[in-house]
Amino acid sequence: MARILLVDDSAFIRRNLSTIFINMGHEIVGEASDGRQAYTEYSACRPDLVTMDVTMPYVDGIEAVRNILGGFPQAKIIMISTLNQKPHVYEAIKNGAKHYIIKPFTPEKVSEVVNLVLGMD
Amino acid sequence: MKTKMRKKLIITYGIVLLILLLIQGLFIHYWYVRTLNDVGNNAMNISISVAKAINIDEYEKLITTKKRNDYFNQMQSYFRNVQMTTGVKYVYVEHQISKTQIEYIFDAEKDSFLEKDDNSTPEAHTTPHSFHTAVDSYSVWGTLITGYSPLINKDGEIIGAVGTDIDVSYFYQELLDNLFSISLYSCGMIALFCFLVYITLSQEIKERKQAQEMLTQSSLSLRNLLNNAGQGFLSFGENLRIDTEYSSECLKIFGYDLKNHLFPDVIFPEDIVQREFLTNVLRDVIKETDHTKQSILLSLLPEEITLDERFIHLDFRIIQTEHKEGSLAIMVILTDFTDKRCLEQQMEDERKILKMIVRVITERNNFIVTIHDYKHFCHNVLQEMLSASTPSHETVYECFRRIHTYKGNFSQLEMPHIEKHLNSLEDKLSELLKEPEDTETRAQLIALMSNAPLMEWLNQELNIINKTLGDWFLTDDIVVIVDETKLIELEEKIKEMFPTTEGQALIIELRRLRYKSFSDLLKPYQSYVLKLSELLEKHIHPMLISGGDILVNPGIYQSFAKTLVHVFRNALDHGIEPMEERIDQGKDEFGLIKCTIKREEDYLTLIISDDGRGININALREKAITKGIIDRETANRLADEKILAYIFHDDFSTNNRPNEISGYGMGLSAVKKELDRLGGYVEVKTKLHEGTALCFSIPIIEA
Repeated sequence: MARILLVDDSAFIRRNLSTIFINMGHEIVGEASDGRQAYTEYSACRPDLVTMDVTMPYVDGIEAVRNILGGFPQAKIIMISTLNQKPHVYEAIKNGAKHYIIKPFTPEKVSEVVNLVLGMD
Repeated sequence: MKTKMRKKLIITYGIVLLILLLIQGLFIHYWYVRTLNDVGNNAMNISISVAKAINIDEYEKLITTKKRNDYFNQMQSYFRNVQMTTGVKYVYVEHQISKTQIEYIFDAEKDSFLEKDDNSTPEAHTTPHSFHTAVDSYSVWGTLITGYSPLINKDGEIIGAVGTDIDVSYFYQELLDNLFSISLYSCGMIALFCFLVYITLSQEIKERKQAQEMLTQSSLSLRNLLNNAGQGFLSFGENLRIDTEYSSECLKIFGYDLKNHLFPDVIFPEDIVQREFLTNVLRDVIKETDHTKQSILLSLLPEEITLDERFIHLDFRIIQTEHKEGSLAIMVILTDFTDKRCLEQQMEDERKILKMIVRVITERNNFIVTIHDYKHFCHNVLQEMLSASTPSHETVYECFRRIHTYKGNFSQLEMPHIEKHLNSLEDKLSELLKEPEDTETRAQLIALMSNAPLMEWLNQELNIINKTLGDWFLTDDIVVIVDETKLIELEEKIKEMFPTTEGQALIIELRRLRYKSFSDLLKPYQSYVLKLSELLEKHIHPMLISGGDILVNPGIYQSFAKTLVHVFRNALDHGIEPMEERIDQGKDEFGLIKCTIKREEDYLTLIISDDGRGININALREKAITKGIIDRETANRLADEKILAYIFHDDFSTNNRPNEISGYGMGLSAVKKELDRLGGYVEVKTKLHEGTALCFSIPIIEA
């Protein structure tokens, strides 16, 4: 069981992911709807895993990855993006994000990626 | 493994060669020494014979008198003679006068009687036997080999020595003369060595040759396979330059020699952003040592590209063996799937058309109203709007709103083309709305709207509908009749074109026009039963039909449904008791006939039950015997269910008096026949005084 922070400006996606994670037996320890909030939430709850939307208002996902990893280098972040955002995902990965999930996602795909990332050192 | 063997072999050869050279050296040395010895011996022998020729007494006289005499002159000519005949350089006799000095007595070269010399060989005057020097006796007279023979008097004293000098050049001459045999010997040795090498190497050379041949053969056939695989194969290393070896399909896809081109340039010749992205990701993939990260990066690479309107699928693989640059290499498998994509597009288009057709048929009124309205807008409203003097932004907004509404309506009707056109027009209008209003706005709006072929867009769609359904469909009549065969054709097409679930939804929609729910087939019996009950003076509740919202092709089930009239009649006539009887039995005074319809996989079950008096099985058994259908013995043996089945028998179907206690069965053989035709079966359940239920199981047939 992992403690997960969801970062997405879409409440719909957050709810979707939340259901999937709870079904997988994980715990949602926080939610954020933009990159700024993501950092605050991360500092507050120190989750095992973060799912991070690429496009968000104020501070986008890539910037948020940079910020979080700047403060917490061991953070495990999975990017959530659409198919045409692969260059952004690449940038996020260059900045230390561990993996990514393309929307629309299936519970199987989410579970596969999350388990892989949780297994990384 | 192979290099180890090779090392061993090289060392062995080295050792053999060294030994051979050593032998050769030793041999040459031995030969040199021998020749030297020969020359020395020669000199020594001459000295010995000269010494013998010397008269010791005369000689002693000469050294004591120290005066030339006849003997001296005679010997001088003898010495000259010896020098001439033997070809030696010098022949002489020396007499030691001190430890380091000698004097010459005889000398073939010239008269050097009593001439002193410090360069003597002292051993010559101490050794009582003859000997020769080595070659290193350099002297002012050249490099010489000297053979000495002592002169010994009666008392055994050494009183002088004969020296014969042979010039070393003579020795070299000798060596030169023997060069041929030395060379021959060396050649023999080398040949032997080469032979040895050949013997040991020939097997390996042979094997290597074979392996090389096999490799060439297999690489040739591999290349053949790759060239004919219908896919392009290419690879590149860290510098991203395409390797020379790529399959011929690549040439077909790109149309030029890819050798040494940068892979990203080839894939995205025009898109700089994508090219840079591809370059960065590829470089990172090659550099990455962590397999998981590598595969994550790999998955970011583009899977599809378009090249000159062709669709190319890209599959990246990491080649784990070391590339020639010492880093990993990436192989790319390219598949041209343009044909497949075109086919898919075509299928997709056809699917869209089918969707549209189904939608316009099922929502025809909506459709007719929408196109009417749209036509009215194009022909009248738009013109009025554009020529009106309302402020232009307002007009733009009105246009935008209208177009937006039509877009929505056509989208609802699944008319994709017009929806797409209206969508882009809507976008342009919204752009226009964003601009500040000025004198240009109206002109821009007019240009935009009059350049948009609004009617043409609609006509495109209508043409398709016309082609599929006929132009009568587009008439303004409220009710139109669609030919059933047309609907069946459409249904078949949908089954062909759509994946099951999506097609099923469309088919159900379409079948609503043609199919009926099974319960609809039974509904007419509700009034029939009511009427009949009045006629038979029975009192019943309205007939209940539950379930049955199962769409069936009425053409298939209609005739079966028609025969069910017998079932209802039997239930009413022979099942439901007269009111008084029911009251006596404590039953509800009103009888009840129920139809329950359920779907069970491919079967539909229909249970028609009544709460009447039930069937008297014993009476039924008797009747079967009376009618001669079965004998008594069989009748007694048969289980109740088997006996009950006889109500569907032909002979039970006729000549039943109403209200007869065993009358159940009138006309039921017709029901059974129809049921058999559909491949169904029936089960009869009855309980005396409680009622009867006929349970039909009917296969659901779609065609």
